[in-house]
Formats: sequence, structure tokens, C-alpha cells
Amino acid sequence: MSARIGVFVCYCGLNISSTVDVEAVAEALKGYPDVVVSTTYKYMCSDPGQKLIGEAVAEHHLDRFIVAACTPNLHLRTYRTLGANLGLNPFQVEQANIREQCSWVHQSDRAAATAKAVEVIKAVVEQIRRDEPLTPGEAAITRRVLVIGGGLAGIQAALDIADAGYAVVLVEREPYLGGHMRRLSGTYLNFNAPPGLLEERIERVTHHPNIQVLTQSEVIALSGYLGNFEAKVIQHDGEQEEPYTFDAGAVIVATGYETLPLTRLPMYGGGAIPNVIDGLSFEAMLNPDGPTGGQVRRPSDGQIPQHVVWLQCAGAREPASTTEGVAYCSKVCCMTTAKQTLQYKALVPEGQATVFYMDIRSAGLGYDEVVQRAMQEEDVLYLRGKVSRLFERDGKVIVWGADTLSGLAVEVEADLVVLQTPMIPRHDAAQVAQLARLSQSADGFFAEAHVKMRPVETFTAGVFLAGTAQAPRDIPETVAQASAAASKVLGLFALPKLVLDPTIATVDPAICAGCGVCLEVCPYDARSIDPWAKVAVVNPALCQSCGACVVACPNKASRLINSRPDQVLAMVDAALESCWEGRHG
Amino acid sequence: MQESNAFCDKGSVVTGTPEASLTYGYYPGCSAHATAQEYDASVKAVFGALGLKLVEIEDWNCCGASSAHNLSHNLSVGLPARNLALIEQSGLETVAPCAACYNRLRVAQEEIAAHPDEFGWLGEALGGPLQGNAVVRSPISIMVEDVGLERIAAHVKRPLMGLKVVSYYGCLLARPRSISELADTEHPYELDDIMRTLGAEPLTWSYAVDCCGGSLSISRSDVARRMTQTIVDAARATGAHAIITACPLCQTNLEMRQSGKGQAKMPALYFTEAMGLAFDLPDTDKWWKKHLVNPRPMLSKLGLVA
Amino acid sequence: MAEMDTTFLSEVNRLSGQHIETCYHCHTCTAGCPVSADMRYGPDRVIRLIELGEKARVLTTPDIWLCATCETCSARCPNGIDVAKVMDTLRHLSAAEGYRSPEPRILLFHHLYLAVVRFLGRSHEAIMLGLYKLRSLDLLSDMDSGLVLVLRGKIPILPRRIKGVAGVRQIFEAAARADKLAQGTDHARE
Repeated sequence: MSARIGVFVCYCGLNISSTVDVEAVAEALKGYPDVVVSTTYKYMCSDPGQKLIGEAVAEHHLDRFIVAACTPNLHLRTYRTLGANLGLNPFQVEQANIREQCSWVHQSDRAAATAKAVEVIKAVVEQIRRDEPLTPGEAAITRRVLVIGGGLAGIQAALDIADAGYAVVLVEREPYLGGHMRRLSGTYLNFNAPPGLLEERIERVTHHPNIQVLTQSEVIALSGYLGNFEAKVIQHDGEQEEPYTFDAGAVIVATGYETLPLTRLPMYGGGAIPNVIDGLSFEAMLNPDGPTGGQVRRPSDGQIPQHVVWLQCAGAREPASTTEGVAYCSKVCCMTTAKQTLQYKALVPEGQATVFYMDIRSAGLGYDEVVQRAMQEEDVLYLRGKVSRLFERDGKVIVWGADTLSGLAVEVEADLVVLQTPMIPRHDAAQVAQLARLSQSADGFFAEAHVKMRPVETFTAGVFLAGTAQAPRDIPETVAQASAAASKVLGLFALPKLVLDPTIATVDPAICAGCGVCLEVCPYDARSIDPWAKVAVVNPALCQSCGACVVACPNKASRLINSRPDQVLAMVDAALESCWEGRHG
Repeated sequence: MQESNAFCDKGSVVTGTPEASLTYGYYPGCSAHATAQEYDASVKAVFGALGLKLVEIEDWNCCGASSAHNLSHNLSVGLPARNLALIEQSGLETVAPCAACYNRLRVAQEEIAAHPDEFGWLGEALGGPLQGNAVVRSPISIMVEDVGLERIAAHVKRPLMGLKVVSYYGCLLARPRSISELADTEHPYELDDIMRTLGAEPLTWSYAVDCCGGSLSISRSDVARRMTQTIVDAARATGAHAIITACPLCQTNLEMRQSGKGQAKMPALYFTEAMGLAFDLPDTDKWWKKHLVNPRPMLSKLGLVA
Repeated sequence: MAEMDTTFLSEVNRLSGQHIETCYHCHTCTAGCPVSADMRYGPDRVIRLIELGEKARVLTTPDIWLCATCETCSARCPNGIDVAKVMDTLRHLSAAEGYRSPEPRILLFHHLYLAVVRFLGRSHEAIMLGLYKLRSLDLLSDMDSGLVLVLRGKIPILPRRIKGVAGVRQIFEAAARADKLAQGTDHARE
């Protein structure tokens, strides 16, 4: 039974039509074997465009169709859904890319671009002619989520998912929940002590019927795939010997951050000067539960400091320095500094607060007003210039800085210096990345799937990111991102079953020799050797149809469904047809 | 007027005890027979006492000091390059006690290695290309790494008890970091370690690698005076008796440019002089006589000299 | 009004091997510079002036001559700019293009130092300082400490020439040629 193929060529406004002669292309495809109808429209993805396809399918009894337009990444799903709605098998709908790979890149040669578009579509016709109707696979989903990290992000995500009625296992390394936020002494924008903000949430997490909290615990193994992970957790409280094993359908990584150690800043004392501390230590000091009961004191002699100096960008924004700072900006320190100066002035009204800065990054609604309040109402002296070095003299800390606005070098005598150091990835980030199959950016933070459009997903389906493990950020952003990750998980759990793309790799067991080469080349760990049959098998949930196994298989036993060798070779023949006849154009 | 021939020998070879095992090339630098004679003498004496042989590099030329790099990039590399060629020919690891010479030789070597095309003209001027394998050392690292503090301790006959010092390296031994042999170029500790081994008490201070203004000492002595005074004041504030140094420009500058108003001037000793004193070597008196700020009264008060 | 000679920045970058445009003017260099108090602008603002193309202003400022090349700036710059090398380059350009130095004594000192090295192969304080005093007419300063140095025998009178002085002169000449080539200038030195 031969196919009845429809070809629909899109103008895409001017995107395609300004370079490719769309009408000529549609004309050229008429009469091509098995092409029953070949026509054009301005925007094929629009409602009228889809209606046009629907009418053509009905009128010409098409059993499959091609849309020649933009990249399949954009609209293949649209057209396959349309095909399904029209009663066709959605996997007998294909999209030929004549925009990104044709009209957009050959704008200087209209004739050649048009000829190429024809060749591309003919190739896809050869493919679709041989496409088999497919049924998507299914997999069950374990509706439990593993949240790694019990800081603010982990807590928020856990609550969102548990409140929706699903089970959560929250694993935290320390004996307590709350992470770094516990140490903070106040937040900018509202000055309520964070422990108070956290308390309510920790309370709810600890007593939530759907959340199992494992403190002093560590995830030691994570295997499986989207909807079907298996996790092993070990508790370090000395009671449980065996790891605790359980299933989960999704994982949220919320392991948090560390701050740059002062030993990496030798010109600022290298951590050896007692009255030079980092920003987090200052927070801890002002925390009512902290070592000084919430009072600001010099570590060396316990006196109240009358002059406190803050250094922003201490070890940050140093792309090529000879010291050991980081190249990126840690985003939150400008606001943290302004907040700390206000807190200091509230405790020591007659004290002097000085800030050395390079820029003020106060990007948020109401943020800059906090900084202006510090400068204008509380007389915090902001000097624009980076400090060259610090040293001790007569019990004070001498700061050699500069003020670019006046051009003068400045020497300041401080009682206490606060170095606002950047957030850095945790020292064990590489291990967590390996465990959860995450990639890391050049700076060591965990990488999201797309920096703009997919900020909480990773390249491993079912593993999501939340919080500062991914990048420096403040409390509202962390909460928002944690909820976003939770919503992805809830979206997954709301599905009755996992629908699996059927256009995956498959193995012909008659030819497969069980050599195992395909296992090594698969980037997604989607293959295994069946212990009984001794042939390769594909996990349909993990396979991403990259084709590496097809190339690697020495026996040609591995092939992609609906991209089989006979299809591909036919496509090549069609694309190169003009070469056999001699050059054209 | 005294002609200082005893310290100006060309090609002088200093042998140590019969079991002399290690031989180093010796690049004295121009100040060795002029303003830094006590450094030259004490280096030779101390090396000899430790059984290290020094062979002066034959017919060496001036490294160019600060003047060459101030006026010409190519000259600042070319002048040291001739010495690097001589060192390569000698086949010896060479010690350059003068911090400026050490700095210029190492920087030139790095420049040539990093930009070989730029310095193609050198090959012709030197009569052949450089191999790039000359090893130039500072005496501090030789003492700490090659000799070792234990061996130094074994030679101490007169521990420098009661002598409080601050260690001053100056800028040329610490920067650029790529050529420095100091383990920590912000807070170095090598000289402190040596002084402690000698029985002296090295004090903590914050000016170990600050510039003394030596290159401006003649032409803008007012600036040099200010920079020197900052360092001397800081040393005095710690209660030190002397500043220990390893750079002839610094030593001369510190002794010459500090103001003596109202208090005794602070002597600047070369660390090898301190070593020679602790080893109880014979010629130390000759060295004190060369200083612009005589260290004898201070040493005598501490009972370290007769 | 800023001169805005846009070729100046690329010339300085090329000769110094640095990327001055990566400077974000944090001022760490000026903050740590031990001579900045005596300078007119300080290293950071000199960098800024280069970016603005203020060639004449930069090449005639005393700052570039007062720089002691202690390299603190280069060691601390978060963007890895070798500021000391830039200062060297500015000195070379200033001298090579015949700009009047506002610190003539500093320039004189360096010239004379090198002149003696060229003549003998090594430096020689007595000749150099003698000439310096005569040419700068700065006869009286340092008489006291100078006398002490002489009394200590630290100023040898008899100059000694190294055997290979011809080789040293060759280096001087070849270096001068290489400099001219690099700078693309024909101006004679002061």
C-alpha cells in the first residue's frame, strides 16, 4: 500500500519567503512519487494554517504529511498533535527544516537556496514514505520526590510538593535544617530575623505527614531514571548501619553554597588577623543566638568597634588576578553590606561605617532605596575603590584603599573589617554532580538545561535544581526557584503515566552479538545487556535518539526507529539527486 | 681614601672546607664592589663556611638595574641576556645576591621564553641563541632549600640572643610572583626562619615586601626619604634593633635616607652578615665598618660583639 | 577637553602586551601604590587617561617617572593587568618621542647610568654621580652621606672596563634598533 503524502510549505512570513521561492518549491514537489498534494501558506503553525492542513488531509485522504518550515525543535510537537487530532498516526508527521538550515543561512543566493529547499523536502518525503506508525511507550511514575539539602530551597520545595499530597524524603547533611539562612541576622527589605522566618517552615516540614526528614544523612547512590529513581541514603547518627533505600520519581538538588575562605585572600590578612572577618561571620555575630548574643564586638578584645569597614568584592570579580578569587559577581553582597551597615548603626549609633565598593548592584524593587538609606540617612561613607591590602598596627586594622571619585588614595584605621566574600560552590560539588548526573559550569555551580528558558531543569530528566547550588542568589529568588522546581515535579506527578517517545533506538536481537560497545558510547546510560538473552536492550525512558549506538554497532544491529538505515540512505539519494544529473543553478 | 681592593677581585674563587660539595656560579652585580661590599664579603664568607664553592661568572656585565627597563624594553632584556649566556656557558646554578640583579635576570629569562620572536635580534648580538636553561637563584633560597636550617644551626657558634629584628625583603624579591622564590609573597617567612635558627628573635611586622624607593634615591631623594622613613618607623615600632635585608639598594637606602632626628638610627644588616656573626667568622668587624649606620654599638650592647 | 587620540590606547596595548581596556577602575593599583601621594594622577587615572587618548598629558605627567616599579599594582590588579609594565612603556614612549620630562633629574639619572654601563660594561658610581651632579647642577645635596660613603670606601675611584665591552655596546645598538622598529618612531632620544 503506497503512502499518500501531503507537503505543506510555509512562507513563515518573510523568514523563508524572502530567500526561498516558496511557490516554486511547492510546485517542484507536485508529482513527486507519493506526493498527493503540495501547497503553501503564510504561517503554517497558525490556526488557519492548521485548518488548511486539516482540510487537505480530509479532501485528499492523506495518511501522512510534511510541513516544510522552521526547525522541528519549535513545532514538530504542534504538527504531530495536529496529526493525531486528524486521526493520523502522529509519528507519520515530519517537519523539514527549510528555515534555520536553509533560508536563514543562504540569504545571498536565492536560486541555490530554493533548489536546496526542494532537495531537503524530497529527502524528508523519502523518510516519511518509509515511516512506520508508532505507539508511544509508557512507564509508571513513583510519586515520591527526593530533596537533597535541607536549607531554605530544599524546605520550600519539600513543602510545596508535600502540601500537594505527595511524599517527600528530605535529606540533610547537618543535624539541623535551615542551612546558611539560620546564621543570618536580618534580611534587607524587611529586617525580621531570618531564624523567625525559617522557624515556621522548619516546624511544618518536621511535622508534615508527607515529609520524611533525614538529618545527619547523605545520599550515597542514585540510580534509575525519570519517574523511576532508586536512592540510597546513609544516616550518620550511629544508629542505622545499613543504607536506607527507597524509590523516587524525581530529585531536587538544593545543596547550597559555601563562602570563599579567607586563606585565599593573603593581601587581606589571609584569615590570620582576628579583627578581619567575613560577611557570614558578621551575620553570626549579630544573630541573637550567636556567640556575642547579637552584639557587635571586636574578636580580639571584645570591645565595641567604633569604626567598621566593609570591603565589597573581596575575592570576587577577579577574572585574571594573581590571587585566588573568583571571576564572577556574587550578586547579593552589595545588598548584604548595606543591610549590615544599617544593623551596625542601629547598634552603635555614634560609630562610623565605611564601605569600599566598585559598583552597587541593587537590582530589585526597593533594593536601591535600602542602599540610599544607608548613604543618606545613616551617614555610611561609601568610597568607590578596591582595597589594595590590610594589616594590623597598634591594635587597629589599617586599610589601604582609594576613592576613584576624588582620585585619592585613602588610608583608613578600622576597629573591625568585614570582607564580603563571594558564594562559591560547595567543596563536594563535584561528588554531588557525579551522584545526581549534573553538569557543572566553569565556575563549579550546577548547570541548568537552558540559562534563559529552562532555569530549574537539568540535562538529566527528572533531576531539578533549586537555590544557591546553581548560582548566587538571595532569599526571595531562592524561594521562587524552589517553588518552580517543585512545580515541575508536581507537573510530572500529575501525569497518569510517563509517555515515552517511541522514536528511539532499537536492537535487532538476531544480529546483536552482545559485544557491549553500544553501552560505552551511550551518553544517557540507556542501554544494558540482557543477562539471559545476552543481547543489548534499550531503556525507552532514557534513550534520547542521539544515534551514537547506531554508529558504534559493528553488526548494524542497532537502529533508530523511523530513522532506519534504509530510510537514511534513501534520504541521501534524494538530496544528492542533482549531483548525478550534473550541477544546476 | 681607602681603595677597597680586597673586595674587588675579579674571578675570585672562594673555597670552603675540604669537603666542599656544591659549586655555584656567582653573579656579584655592580654594587658588590661598591656600595654593597659588606654583602659581597659576607656572602662569600658564609658560603665558604658552609662548604659551598662560588665561581664568579667570567666577565659579567651590568644587569641594567632599574635604568634599563625605565628607558628601553629591549635593552632591559638584552643586558641581562648577555649574563644569562655566560651563566649557561658556565653550566653552574648561579646565585645573584643583589635583589635587583636577581629580578632582572629572571624577568629577562621569562620574557625571552614567552616572546621568542620579539627577541630574535638577541641571537645575533650575543653570537648565538640562548638555550633558556640558566638557573638563577637568590641566596635566601639557597640557604633555606639547598643548605637547610638544620645545617645552618649546626654552624651557629654564637647564638644571636637578644637580637630583635624585622625581616625586610623589598619589592624585587617578591614581585612579579612568577620569578619569586619566596613561598608566600605577601607574608614571606624565609628570613624569619633563618634568623630564628641563628638565635635571634624575628618580630612580626607588615612592611616586609613594601618598596623603599631605592630607584628614586638619587633623583628624588625626598620621595625615597618618605618611603624609607615609613619602613624604619614601622620597624622601630616593633621594638626591633635592626632591619635584616637581602637587597643592596634597600640596605643603602634604608641606612642613608632615614632621618636621625631625635633618636638613634636603625642599622640595616644583610642576612649573611647576621649569619657570619652567628657563625663567629673572623672578618665580621670589617663588615660593620662599611655600614653607614654603624651596627657595632647596638651589637655591643647586646653582648654580641666585644 | 580630552584629546581622544584613539590610536594611543592600541599603541600602548601593543607595546606593553597588556589589555588596558579590561580595567574597571577599581583603583586597587592606586590604593597600594607607595608613591601615589607624590603623583599627580595615580596609576589608575593614568590608565583612564590612556583610554581617553590623552597622549600628551600622559607622556608628560610626572607620575610615570615617579613610579618606582615596585609592581604592587601588577600583583593586586583583579584583571591581571601588568600596570608596572604599562608604566615602563609610557616611559619608553615619552623618552623616544622626545617629550619634555617634568622630572628631568630622574630621566638624567637613568641616561647617565646607562651611558656609564655602555662605556665600561658595568656601572661606576663615581663617574656617574659626578656627571649627574654637574649636569643637574644639584651640587650640594647628599654631600654628607656622599662623604660618608666615600670614607667607607664604597665609591671606588678607578673605573674598570670588562673585556667584552664591545659585546655590551653591540647590545645597546641592537636594542635601540629593535626599540625603533617596535615603536615605529624615528625620533632621537633626548
